[in-house]
Amino acid sequence: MTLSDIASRLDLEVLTPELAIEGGDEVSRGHASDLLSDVLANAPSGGLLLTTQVHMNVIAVAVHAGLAAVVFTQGMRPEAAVCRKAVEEGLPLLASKDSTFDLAGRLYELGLRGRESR
Amino acid sequence: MTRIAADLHVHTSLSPCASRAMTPAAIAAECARLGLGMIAVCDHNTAAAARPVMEAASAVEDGPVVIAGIEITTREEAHVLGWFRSAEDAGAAAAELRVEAALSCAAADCSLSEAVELIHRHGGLAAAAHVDRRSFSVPGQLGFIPDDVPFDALEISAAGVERGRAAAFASHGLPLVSSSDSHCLEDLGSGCTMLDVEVPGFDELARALGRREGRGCVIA
Repeated sequence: MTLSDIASRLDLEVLTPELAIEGGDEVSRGHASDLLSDVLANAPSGGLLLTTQVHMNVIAVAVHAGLAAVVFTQGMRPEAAVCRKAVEEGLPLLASKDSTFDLAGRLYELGLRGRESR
Repeated sequence: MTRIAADLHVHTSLSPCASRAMTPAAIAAECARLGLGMIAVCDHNTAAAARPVMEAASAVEDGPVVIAGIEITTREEAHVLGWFRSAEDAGAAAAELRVEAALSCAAADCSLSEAVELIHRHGGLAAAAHVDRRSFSVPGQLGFIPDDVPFDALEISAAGVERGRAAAFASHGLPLVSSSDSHCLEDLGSGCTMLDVEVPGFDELARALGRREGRGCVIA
């Protein structure tokens, strides 16, 4: 499933329309966390991050972790400067009104899984 | 110039997570016994205990100089210490946080940057608390210490100093302090910063952190 399929199936709002999300790589994994130290340590490269953490650091952390995109859950919205930084870094940002729990469940139904167990 | 031991992060019984034995009188007596020259009272999101501890300390022989502080829980749930020139300044800063007393450990509705700005606006000094710990620290919550937030110091926990973690934070170019983050009397002074100052007090603390005019600070 590509990011654009996920966005349309789960009705995600795209916060970085400057970045094309069509025809990207398959996204098969995800991670849910508001602790960015945990994201650095545990998020699967190429995966989605579900978070309520809207601090600017989320961009650098997501890029460092090699994530495909960040989805802000339960109505959380980052400031415009965060979206601009994401565009600069080529990191798509999306938003959902769903809780992290519900959105993770819906992604699981679409076939996404968490990081491989270690 | 004298070298004094400072414990710049002390809770009182006003913090819901602290021991009820952390009364102003007990803190003052224990700090005098330990020979601490300066302490900072940093309860969660409130500065209401600063003045009572100051009064208790001045009533005790060899009581420490008491700095009024607060430990702010930011929206990102990162802890930031603010040290102020007076209990009034600390109180004014705490009042802006509008955190209910019953929920004083809860997050204030201000971001990390806003918390540091708030502290500076009230003439205070801002430090990222216990940066070596995973929980409620700036690196724990945000992955790393953002370089656009003008901290005046980074605090390393007593356990972190013991495990040699301070060196990892030297590259930020900020003064490092260590303090006890005491929630009970037994922990007072377990983490200390040695300050080279003329007279213990807020202005000299600011000079010591800035290593100005021959003042200095070093982790004990």
